[in-house]
Amino acid sequence: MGPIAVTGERVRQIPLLAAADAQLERISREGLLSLTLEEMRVIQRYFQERQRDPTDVELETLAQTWSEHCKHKTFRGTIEFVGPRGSGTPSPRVYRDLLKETVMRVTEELAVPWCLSVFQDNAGVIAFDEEWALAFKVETHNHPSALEPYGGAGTGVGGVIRDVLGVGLGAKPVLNTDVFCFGPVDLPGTKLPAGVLAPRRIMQGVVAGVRDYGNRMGIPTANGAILFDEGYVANPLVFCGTVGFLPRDKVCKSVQPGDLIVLIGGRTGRDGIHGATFSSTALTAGISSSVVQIGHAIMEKKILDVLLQARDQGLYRAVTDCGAGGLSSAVGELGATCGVRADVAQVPLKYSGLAPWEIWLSESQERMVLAVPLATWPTLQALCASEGVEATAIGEFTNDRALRVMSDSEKVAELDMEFLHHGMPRVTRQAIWRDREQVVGIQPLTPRGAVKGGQRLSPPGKILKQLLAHPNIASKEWVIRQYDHEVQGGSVIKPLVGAHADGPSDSCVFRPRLDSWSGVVVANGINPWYGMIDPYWMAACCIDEALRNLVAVGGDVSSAALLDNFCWGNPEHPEELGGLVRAAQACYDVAKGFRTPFISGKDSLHNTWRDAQGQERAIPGTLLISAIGLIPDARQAVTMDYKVPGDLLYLLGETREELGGSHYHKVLGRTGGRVPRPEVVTARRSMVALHLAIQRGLVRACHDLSEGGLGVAAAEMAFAGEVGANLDLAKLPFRGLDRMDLALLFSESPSRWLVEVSPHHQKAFEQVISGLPFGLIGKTITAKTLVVHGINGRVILRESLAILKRIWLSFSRSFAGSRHGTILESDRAPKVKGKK
Amino acid sequence: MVRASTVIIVSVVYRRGVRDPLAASIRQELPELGMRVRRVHTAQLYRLVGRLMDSEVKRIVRDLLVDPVIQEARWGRTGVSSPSLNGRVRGAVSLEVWLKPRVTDVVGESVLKGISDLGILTVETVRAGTGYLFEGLKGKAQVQQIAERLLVNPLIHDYHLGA
Amino acid sequence: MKGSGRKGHFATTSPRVVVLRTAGTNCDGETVHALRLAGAEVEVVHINALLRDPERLDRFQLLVIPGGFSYGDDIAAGKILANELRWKLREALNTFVASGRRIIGICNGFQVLVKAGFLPGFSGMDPEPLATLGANDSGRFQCEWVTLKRERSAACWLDHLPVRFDLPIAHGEGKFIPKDHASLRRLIRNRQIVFRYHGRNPNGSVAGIAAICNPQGNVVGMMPHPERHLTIYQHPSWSRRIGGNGQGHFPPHPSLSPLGGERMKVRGAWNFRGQRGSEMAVGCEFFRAAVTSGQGKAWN
Repeated sequence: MGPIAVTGERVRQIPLLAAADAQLERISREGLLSLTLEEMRVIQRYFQERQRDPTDVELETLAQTWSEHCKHKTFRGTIEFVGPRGSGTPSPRVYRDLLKETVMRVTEELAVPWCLSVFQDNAGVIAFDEEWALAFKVETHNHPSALEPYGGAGTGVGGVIRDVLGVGLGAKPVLNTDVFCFGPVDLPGTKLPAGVLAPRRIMQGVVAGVRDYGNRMGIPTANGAILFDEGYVANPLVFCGTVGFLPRDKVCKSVQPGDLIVLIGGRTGRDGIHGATFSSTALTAGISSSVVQIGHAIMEKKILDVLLQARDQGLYRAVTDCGAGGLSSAVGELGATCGVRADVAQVPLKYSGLAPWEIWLSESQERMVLAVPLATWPTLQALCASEGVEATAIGEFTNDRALRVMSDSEKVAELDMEFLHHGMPRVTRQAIWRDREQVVGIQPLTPRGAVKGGQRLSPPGKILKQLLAHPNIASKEWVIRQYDHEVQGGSVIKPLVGAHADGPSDSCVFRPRLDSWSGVVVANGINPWYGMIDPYWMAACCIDEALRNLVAVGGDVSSAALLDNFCWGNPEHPEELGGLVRAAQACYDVAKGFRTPFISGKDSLHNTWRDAQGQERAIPGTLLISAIGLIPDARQAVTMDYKVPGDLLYLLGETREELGGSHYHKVLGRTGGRVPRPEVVTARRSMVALHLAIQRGLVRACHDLSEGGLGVAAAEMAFAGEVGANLDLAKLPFRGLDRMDLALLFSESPSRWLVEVSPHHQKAFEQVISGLPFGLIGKTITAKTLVVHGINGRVILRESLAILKRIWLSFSRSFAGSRHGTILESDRAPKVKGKK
Repeated sequence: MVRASTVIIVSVVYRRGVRDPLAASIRQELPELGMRVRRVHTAQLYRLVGRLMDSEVKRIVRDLLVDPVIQEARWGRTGVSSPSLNGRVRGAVSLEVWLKPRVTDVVGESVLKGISDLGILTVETVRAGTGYLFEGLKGKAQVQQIAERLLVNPLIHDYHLGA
Repeated sequence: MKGSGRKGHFATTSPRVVVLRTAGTNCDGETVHALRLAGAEVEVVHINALLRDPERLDRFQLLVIPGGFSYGDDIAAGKILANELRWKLREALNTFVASGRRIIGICNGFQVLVKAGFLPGFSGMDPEPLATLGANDSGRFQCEWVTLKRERSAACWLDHLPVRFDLPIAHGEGKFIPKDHASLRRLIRNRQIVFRYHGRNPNGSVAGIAAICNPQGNVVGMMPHPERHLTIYQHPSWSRRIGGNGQGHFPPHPSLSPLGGERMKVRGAWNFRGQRGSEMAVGCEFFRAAVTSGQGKAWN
């Protein structure tokens, strides 16, 4: 390697060679590199061997490529863990690569033939049929959404869409799914940390940002969830997911030396510099506005239009999106196994005056990088020009395993690919888990439902109404209807179902091909409140929830695949990391038990901020499980609304007293309780049976039980279908000591469904589910009322469907009519003096 | 004759009697801030920089920026009195919100294309902004609050108040 | 063929349809599918290609401008594409319309046709806009299903459609506003109102207008999306009417309007593998009508 010529001030040399530790740390800090001392030392050694200082381009490239965001240092590093496995006794264990030993291990061991590309490309890819494949990716964009909700969320959607555009040789986005976690929208101003936008304002902006980008891209948004908790006030979570559709023969990329590096799409500016390192640190005030970007959806749509044409004409060999780390990551990854030589002076710029490192690191949106053979380059150029998309050759792929960056004729960076991608020192972290259930204690219900201590309880009807009114359970219609969920024409089961299309569907079903009835089901599972007790069981329940939602509409668990998205606090805190390890363990145990492989995932760590006292605070550890599966014939899909009075109602699945983390406890202001635990073997058998029953046309309606348990599920089915129901709690299959009405009605035991079956199919249905825990617990009735009999036979609940529905809709209705279709702002946070 | 580049501000508002949904939604949000307002008007603002004759500006306004069925516009070159909503109501406070110079302005870019589609090629840049006019508030301080809490994010916006 | 002024009888069995797209068009895929199902030969052409060669339009009998967010809806929905058509394709389009060939604008396409002056089209291409599609009264984008009533209109090629049927809408700027009372009266007098919202007006459109045509009836613009209701399985309450595997019917809920197309006869070979005729919905009928000339004859 020759010397680097450094002329003028455009490229700086960083004095690393002779730097002492303190100076190394200062260089990292002041440059916003987020490199640890050990990493700086390793880099210093590398350059000492070459007897020269690094340029700013080289150091920034290493910082971005080695960031937590890009390298997943925690998940792929060494973790020394002390804690139990599942419900076992605590024992120390060393994970050399947590991701590989848990999440990825499921997929490796299951080795299903229909997983086509997992954990290696921009998204996971599974087979759809002999000719086509499905790609799925979910990721988060949390910190930018906290700072600039509209722009941050919009670019989050743009980013995950680009991941799907960049999987294989490019996939067509066919579905968006969005899960949001916000602070409570009625948070009093006094509880709002300084410099933090009010939750209502964040929610307005995020909903609008995701909507505008997704709608403009013509991608239906048909699945999602919105949760509220105080833990997210200063650090909202914005999960954006996209499903793509691509031919099976376009799943693999390849790069040949001599191929051109082609950049297509938007121009490059200073946006988003240090985006990758930024998302790897705590949010603090005074952040430069360059870390927030505004998206340009139409530009991305134009890219999509030309990319799919170019793909089908075979004009390029590989594609990837320009995301975190900008060109340094995109070009660096594509050329990882061969080598690259790029010239930043060729990159089209938004404005002049950018230094080479800024061009190389910029995270300007809406850009893709392609590997294009010389022979097809003119055709690609013409195609792009015809639709107004800029395409520029900025270098070529080489075969010398080096990353070389030029600025005109001046060499500004030279690194070994091996060092860039594999030279990062491994991180070792400590993790501890202490059983919180034992610490917090369980408050058992005594007979008649009174808590020990004689606290009086509300009647079940009142509790049900409180649950239905709760923002986490209430209708989100005002958001759902702002998103086009019908574009592309493939919608079969929409997000809102029922007599007036306003009941909550468990999952969505759509057809990626309009000339076929084969369908795809997408569902999700999320519940941070279980995680506050035990992340192991949270993860277990989230997987169960995603799968039971998928099965409830007719999906097939044996063709289902999962994605994991961890949002956690600071992994350098052993207790925080202990929770994360617990959740990852459950991912292995439970996904293995369900025989559902993981195909992709993402982790967002350091979701923390500094409070008024300067203390670092974290969000509740949150895991989102997304599930994607097939339904052989979409015409067999089932919705959750009761259809016909006089039908039988079955509860499939066992109920136990599992109120820990439940919304029942939430509305009553209680803590403690046993966290729900799925019994995976039985759960899977139930899913298989239910799928069979649905395929045979034996099921008229099906709804899974989750927040609010049986009470909420039965009410939702009833007011969605405008058909009443009469239930008898005595008939519920229950396991436990104290059989009590409130526990039966509101427990959140997993793996349960409420199923409506025609009397004609009683025998056939019971045959399919024989051997599984189930109970014939009631009937649908003509009166538009929900009636529930307690275990002693007396009516404990009788509520009009119209009233229950009105209550369930009231949260959504309070938002209708304002600017982004969201509620009135109630930001009363006192401003800290001196801050704008 | 080579004309110098000038800055032209165009303000497009809804005609009287036409519903302004943006204004309506802001009005609904104000009581939560503890404020009462008599009326809110909004405007789409465009800032054109280029060498343009009056006739060309008129054409851009008439054929591109305004929907004559429901909107009308005022425009002026900066230096001359601002053509914003001020002319409408005395005692009202105006607020102009623009994206910071380096932030992507997709509407501005689209307007530039629309102008060149009309055959006018002497415009260099276009930026789009939003104007608000508040009637019946207790002065600039309240508008400042509305700006900070509802309408402006200092990370990406520049804004100014006017009497 | 330019300026021949003949009202469409064309020689081929498959009518030739052009679907126009540009930056931000996104309903073209399903629109093309719908047209092919109806038996047409379809070509998708980018506006830039058409601007380079306007005569290309001559080869087609039907022009469809599909839904989407052309140019992001910047300035106003459909404005920039409308200007491209109005200022750069004026002659070719005027000839196209004058010859009796059809133009259909769906959602964004409707917005484009109105802003370009082809609708209401009282005098060919109206010299100034006489109507617009403004922001929904709610101020929000709305994705929902509506019930429509078909009026007796100059677009008599739509007369076979049911009088009442459901379709989805998905728009933020769908409120039809005529310039003044005189324009509205003229629309009514000329029988230019094609569909109205029935039962519930989702966006505040004047007179509940959801679709209009020009006085000759060969240019139609509509806000609802017929290409999104080709099968009954796209209707939001199909699962309340049909049993698990297509057999056995539940009594339909009394508040729902009858599905147009459930009992429709199938004309021509426009099934796809596995789709029974009774699974077709009103969208199929719409496109079939669109690609068929008067009196049920094929275009030639």
